[in-house]
Amino acid sequence: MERRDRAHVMSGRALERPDRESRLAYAFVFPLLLAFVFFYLWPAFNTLAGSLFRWGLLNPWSIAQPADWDFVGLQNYVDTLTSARFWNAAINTGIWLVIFPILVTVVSLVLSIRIWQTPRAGATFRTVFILPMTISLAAAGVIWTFMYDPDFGVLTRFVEWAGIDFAIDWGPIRFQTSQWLSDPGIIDLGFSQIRLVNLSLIVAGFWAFTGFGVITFTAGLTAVSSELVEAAQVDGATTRQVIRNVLIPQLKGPMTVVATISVIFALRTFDVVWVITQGGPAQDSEVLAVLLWKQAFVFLDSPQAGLATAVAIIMSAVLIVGAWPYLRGLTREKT
Amino acid sequence: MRQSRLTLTLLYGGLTVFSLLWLVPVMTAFMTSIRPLDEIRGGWWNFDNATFTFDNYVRAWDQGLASFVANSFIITLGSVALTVATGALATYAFVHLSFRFKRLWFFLLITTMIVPIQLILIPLLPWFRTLGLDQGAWQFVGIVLVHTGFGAGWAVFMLSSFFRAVPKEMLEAGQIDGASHWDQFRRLVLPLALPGIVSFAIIDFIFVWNDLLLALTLLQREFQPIQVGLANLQSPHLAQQDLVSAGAILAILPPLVLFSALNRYYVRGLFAGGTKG
Amino acid sequence: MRIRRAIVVGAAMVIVVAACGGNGSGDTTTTGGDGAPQTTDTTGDDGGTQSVSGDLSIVHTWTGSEQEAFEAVLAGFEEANAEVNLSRIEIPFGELNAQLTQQFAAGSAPDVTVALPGLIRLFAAQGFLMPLDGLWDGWMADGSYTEPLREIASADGTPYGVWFKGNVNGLIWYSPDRMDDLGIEPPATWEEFIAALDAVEAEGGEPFAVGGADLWPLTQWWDPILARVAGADVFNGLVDGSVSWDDPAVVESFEVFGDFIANYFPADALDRGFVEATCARVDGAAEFQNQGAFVNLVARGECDDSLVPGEDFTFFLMPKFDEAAAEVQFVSGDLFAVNADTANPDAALALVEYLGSAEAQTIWAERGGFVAPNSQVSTDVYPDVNDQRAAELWPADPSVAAVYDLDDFIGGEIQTVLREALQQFVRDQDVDAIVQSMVEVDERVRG
Repeated sequence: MERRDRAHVMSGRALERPDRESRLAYAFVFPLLLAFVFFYLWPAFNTLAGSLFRWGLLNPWSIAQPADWDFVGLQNYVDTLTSARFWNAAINTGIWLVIFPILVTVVSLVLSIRIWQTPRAGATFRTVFILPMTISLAAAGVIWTFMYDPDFGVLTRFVEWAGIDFAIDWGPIRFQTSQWLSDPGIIDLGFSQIRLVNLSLIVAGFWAFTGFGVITFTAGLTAVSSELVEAAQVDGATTRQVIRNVLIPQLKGPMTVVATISVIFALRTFDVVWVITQGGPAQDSEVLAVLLWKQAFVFLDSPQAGLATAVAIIMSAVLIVGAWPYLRGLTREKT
Repeated sequence: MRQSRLTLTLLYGGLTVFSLLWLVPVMTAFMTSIRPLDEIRGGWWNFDNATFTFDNYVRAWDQGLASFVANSFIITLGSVALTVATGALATYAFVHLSFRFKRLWFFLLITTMIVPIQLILIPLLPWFRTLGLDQGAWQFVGIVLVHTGFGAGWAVFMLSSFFRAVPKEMLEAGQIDGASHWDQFRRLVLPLALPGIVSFAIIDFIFVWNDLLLALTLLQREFQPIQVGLANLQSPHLAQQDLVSAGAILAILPPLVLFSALNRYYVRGLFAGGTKG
Repeated sequence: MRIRRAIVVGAAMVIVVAACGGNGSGDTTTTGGDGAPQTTDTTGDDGGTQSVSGDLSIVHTWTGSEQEAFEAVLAGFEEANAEVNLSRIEIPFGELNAQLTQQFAAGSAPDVTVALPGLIRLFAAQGFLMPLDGLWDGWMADGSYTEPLREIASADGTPYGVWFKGNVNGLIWYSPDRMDDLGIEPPATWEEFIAALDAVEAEGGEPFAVGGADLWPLTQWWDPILARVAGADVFNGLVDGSVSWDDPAVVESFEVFGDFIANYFPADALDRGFVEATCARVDGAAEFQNQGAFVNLVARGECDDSLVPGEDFTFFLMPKFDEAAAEVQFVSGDLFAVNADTANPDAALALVEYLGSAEAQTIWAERGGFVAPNSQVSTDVYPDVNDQRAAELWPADPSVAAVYDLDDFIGGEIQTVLREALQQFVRDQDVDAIVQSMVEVDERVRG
């Protein structure tokens, strides 16, 4: 397609061709772009612009009412980046960003490989692990609230039954196998504390999301040519060696995808946290998305929507900057 | 793949145990939903004198779950229909046509896959008010449009893999025969890419059905979908696990049914999204 | 071609129609048609005058047995005003702030809504609520309400709220049988109170069931302690900002609360919600529960409906911390406010007038778990001794200082931070930390 276009451009007469094609193409993309511009680009721009003002949702900032503007420039960003509450949320989100992708990638990788080794019941096993992906995160959150319930939760009873009811208090680490949603433990890093209640939530999210990794890795595994595997076996390689030296190197691509999408998921996470703990107790599990929500909809005594939009911009900027090479590569590849 | 009997047994055994463990959460919700609340207090795995009942479902249904489910269907089917229709059209252009700013539009579109929804969330409220989309049933229109706008990137991204799979030769042959792009789209690409479109539709259905945040922010009580109803049932004023679990199971059913019936398409769709790049 | 054009035209039409669709008034009902509202007497005279008509929507937060009771109250209004189409919208209590904000910001708020004083003040400041001077003048004149109560329902001196459901707090619930077994008498002084708690612990029992997971029970714990240790003036001073959070009286109240937590709170205070804690006490897992009068209904409705109020469970009031100090009663409750932009102001006003009247409040009072704020409601209507005793504690006498639930009165970020800080306080009893947090947020919000 591209070659033809360039050829047309070179011959002057054909300058009309690209224009006509351009107009036709716009007719095709117009409906989608309409929704896209009105309900994504314009609100996104508003968020960016609104972050430069001081306002609350009871009296929303509007680009059409300059008389009501209270311009504060970058003050919202300064306030946010110097706010202890923001950094608490950032650290909680950070825990998600580190643990969640690792958990998802590693477990789904291991599962996929093990399933690959048992071709007969493979489809059944895979279905079980993929199943939670169809469940909404809100429902998953509700389900895991039952699991963690201090009175009749499965986890609580299991801990009792298995006798692994204990608590550790060892240096900076405090941990107990109970009170999963209020205080399972803390790791004290001095300058801040890592609250282990986040792990309880991460487990719920991990349960809901791992299926994606299983699908991706399975697809990657089917792409591994069987000749390679057979050749390795003929050479006398053990299963473990086959896995380590043949499969895993071939799965680098899928690993990147799973890790990347997991990171994006972790940064955006709201549903699971909101449904299970609402960011509590205190601010232990408050992640950035939850903080943003509270600033916009709960803290009404002072106008904080400006701060909330600043947080949204910071989150988005971090993601876009982080994913920039991925986005550029994708654009080049697909257009 | 030759493996020893022992290895295989261990593998099957291990995977089976792990699978069963994996299903425990869903079992918990299901069991909690079909038994009366006071029995659950002793733990759902106690089956002595167990009574099973659908009473919780009936009560949850009466308490408003019925309208939540109806709202979910309206929002989800509307969003999927609009996204698929506009998305297929747009993807055709992205794949087979060239136009000004194509790269830029594509780049902007795929940022939706990465940025958090919070980026557009807050201004949407006053924006809806300006557009009049906050009144009555217009809220459905509004949220469908937002889902389409925010899902536009995913749509183009996923559908383009499927559209690209249509062999170029067929298209070129068609063009030589004088077929217009619209004809080609309608008669050639759509039918061939249909399985892919179905895959995307299923994924989009599940995604919109499961959305919480947009619905929570933009919709008033009467128009809220089941995910918000579920989150609200959890509210800290009443311990009504029986109702909540019934609600959770109801919330899960449609995507689950869709998934089991069209497993192939769902997985294929996710493959297309996942293995590229 | 046709399809594509149709899609484009359709999308364009949607946008155009929506843009003309306008500026949203308070109409949120889905059934069409406003009736022609008739004039209603808004000078607070009770019932029986001309009925109103039209569509009306009301938001409330009650579920379960409380919702049934509220429905009975609304039925009374509907009977007297047969032409009104009243739609009810139930919003979970925790979502109330967010939902109402969204609705008012979107211009589609309900005509009448339940609102706590903090929210009333915030929304009144934005001009969202209708002033209710007319109603209140009448009520003050016939003695239905006292001045402190009017204050609580006002913002900047003008009343915007109507009292509907009252509640007294600082009630320590217990089971008389178990107290007898332990050989304890209901304490009348603070020393006796502490002694009773120590006695429970000596027997190996758990003194308190605390529903800390739900956040608000903790505020209902600290507020009566603050009221008793620091007094009504300091309490109200925290609300209007005239008293700082590091005032010595406030600090002392935290210290007292901290001692309580350290000595008498269960280890899992933050794990259970309010209902579970109530049932835990009923089941005997704990001896006492510090909660409001609504436990009377909840304990029977959600835990064990065979309980006989007064015999199986009753309460004593948390004793005064300092015998010499003045009497302070800590109350809370639900008020209703009217949307300033309501499409049906006459019906809305009639509804809130009804809700504030003795007639409406009697309906729920008869069912229990309710304290009627309107002093015209006689104490005979209460169905059992628990409710009667609670009602007697209601500050109908203008000379008794009444303080309203602190965090609900303040609202906004300060409320959220206080609740979260209290959760943290339950864990570490660090008085300096909680004072510091509150001073910071207070400065940030109020400047």
